Amino acid sequence: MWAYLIRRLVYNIPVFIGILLLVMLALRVRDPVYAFLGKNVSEETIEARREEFGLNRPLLLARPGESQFGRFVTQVFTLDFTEESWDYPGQTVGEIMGRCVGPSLALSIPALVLTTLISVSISLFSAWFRGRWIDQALVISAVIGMSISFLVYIIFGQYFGAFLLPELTGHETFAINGYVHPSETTWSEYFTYYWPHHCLLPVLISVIVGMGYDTRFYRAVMVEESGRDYITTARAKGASQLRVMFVHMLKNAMIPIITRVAITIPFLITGSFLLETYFSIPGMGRQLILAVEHADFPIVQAFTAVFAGLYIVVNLLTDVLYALVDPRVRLS
Amino acid sequence: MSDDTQSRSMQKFLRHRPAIVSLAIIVIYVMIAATLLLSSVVTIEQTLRPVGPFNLPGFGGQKLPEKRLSDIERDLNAINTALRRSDTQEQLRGVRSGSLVLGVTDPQQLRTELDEIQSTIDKLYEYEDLDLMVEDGTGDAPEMLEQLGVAESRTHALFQLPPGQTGPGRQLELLLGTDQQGRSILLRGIWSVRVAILVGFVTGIVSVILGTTLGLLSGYFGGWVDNVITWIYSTFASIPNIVLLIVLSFAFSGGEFDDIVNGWTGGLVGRLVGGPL
Repeated sequence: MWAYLIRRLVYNIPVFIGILLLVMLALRVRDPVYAFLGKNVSEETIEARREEFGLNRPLLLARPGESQFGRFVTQVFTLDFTEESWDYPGQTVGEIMGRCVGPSLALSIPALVLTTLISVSISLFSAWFRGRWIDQALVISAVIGMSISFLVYIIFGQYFGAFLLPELTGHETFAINGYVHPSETTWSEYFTYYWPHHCLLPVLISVIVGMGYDTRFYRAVMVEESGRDYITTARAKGASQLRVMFVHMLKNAMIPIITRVAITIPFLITGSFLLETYFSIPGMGRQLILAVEHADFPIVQAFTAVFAGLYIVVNLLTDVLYALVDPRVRLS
Repeated sequence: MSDDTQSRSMQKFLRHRPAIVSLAIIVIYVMIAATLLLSSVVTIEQTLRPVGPFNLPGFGGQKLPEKRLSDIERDLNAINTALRRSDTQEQLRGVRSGSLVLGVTDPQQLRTELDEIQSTIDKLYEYEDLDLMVEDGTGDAPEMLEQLGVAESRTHALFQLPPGQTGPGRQLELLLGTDQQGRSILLRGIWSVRVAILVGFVTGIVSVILGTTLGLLSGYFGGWVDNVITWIYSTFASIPNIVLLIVLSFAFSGGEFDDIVNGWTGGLVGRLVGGPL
């Protein structure tokens, strides 16, 4: 088990270094200092900033720790994000990242958990009534749900949830901006008022969008599993229908479910780019987009490195989870 | 797969009515897109040219009162700016409301007209929230709407359509309304189908060619070639798509590279992407 984990980890190190190199090269196609400071700045100021961030050093070929690449790799692997942001003077990249992680997770974790729970339940339900009208209705609504663009859900969600609903009920329901950080209020207030007020609508939109795809996929998995021999055996042994569904079938369906969830995690980051931007939630995705707009080079470089790192770690964890769930996967 | 199973799955497919209907829809969609792509039903010039007043709602709809008020204000400001300049006549000829040009060019007449309209809309500005008033129908809402209508029609009376912007296609151009610069949203929407299809086809073809070539090389030579190709593939596959897109847009927007690419392609990329990202 540990040997497998370490081998996968070692295999991924060159991949991650490749990503860092790619990101570094891509961000240097256009002179980052020039892009941020503009044309009306003296040569000395530009040189001074280059010197400060080591952008005048050789890119690759130098003694270790001297080249830009060596410094960046060291920084990322030692989690040393103390470089100062250009757009927010006086704040380090690490501080900004720390500030943005909370809001992102407040959105993506509930969305992922809810989507998976609801989709698995619906798909079990659908597989139970396979071929009957209720199953067909569920499949058709799933297809309709996934045929509609994310942006349409956002626009309609904002219109109905944040404009029409408050107008009709006279209550303040959902907000589309003005996220409140838990540190600005108490935790109990955050969970009872501020979180639902700012994050529930985007979470619901995310769930609705994800549900169509997931339900269809899980239903197919359940239908396939229900035709297997072990189900027949379980029935023959006299296991009740419920036991067959929830113990025998669900347990075996866990392998595709886990794969699916793991595949969805990076898409949650993608989805939250849109949601964070449209609902002004100061998360990682929105911060990265703002940094690109303002040519805030240290933030773009560090954030992309972290996103890629997270992605690799998630993939690694998925492989380990496989092994835990599916005894057929050998870890040698 | 043997012929037997192939024909059986074909029969199964043909018996599945929803699948056939879906296939028909996809074929129709692709055919429409291909027609748009190959013919020049809509040209890029048409999508960039104003065709009517700006901010016109689609399907003959009505703007909200606040919006109508601010749009009147925008027209008045444009005329006022021209009137204040020394070369008034020259400036007045350049005033546009979407594609519309000024019909009245006597500065004195314009000034009196503008003052009267301004005093009407100043009164309207005293209300807190016009949209809410109209919705609730409270108080002076009907009277207020009438004043707004008068101000609007008097402003519109100052403008006229430029020559050549009449004809049978015009209703169609204005069907979905216009944007802030008076450009037809329908034409721009049709043009965007072309862009979407083009991007889809190009990425599809390029990725198939690249992928097949790399896969063949990797499989044929094996050894270190295989290792390097696998490494490159894993590197690209391990960056979330959206992050890669963001990094590339940071790298290639507004710099020399942007100009070079646009130079090569005759500005095609810039037009497709619509200015700096």
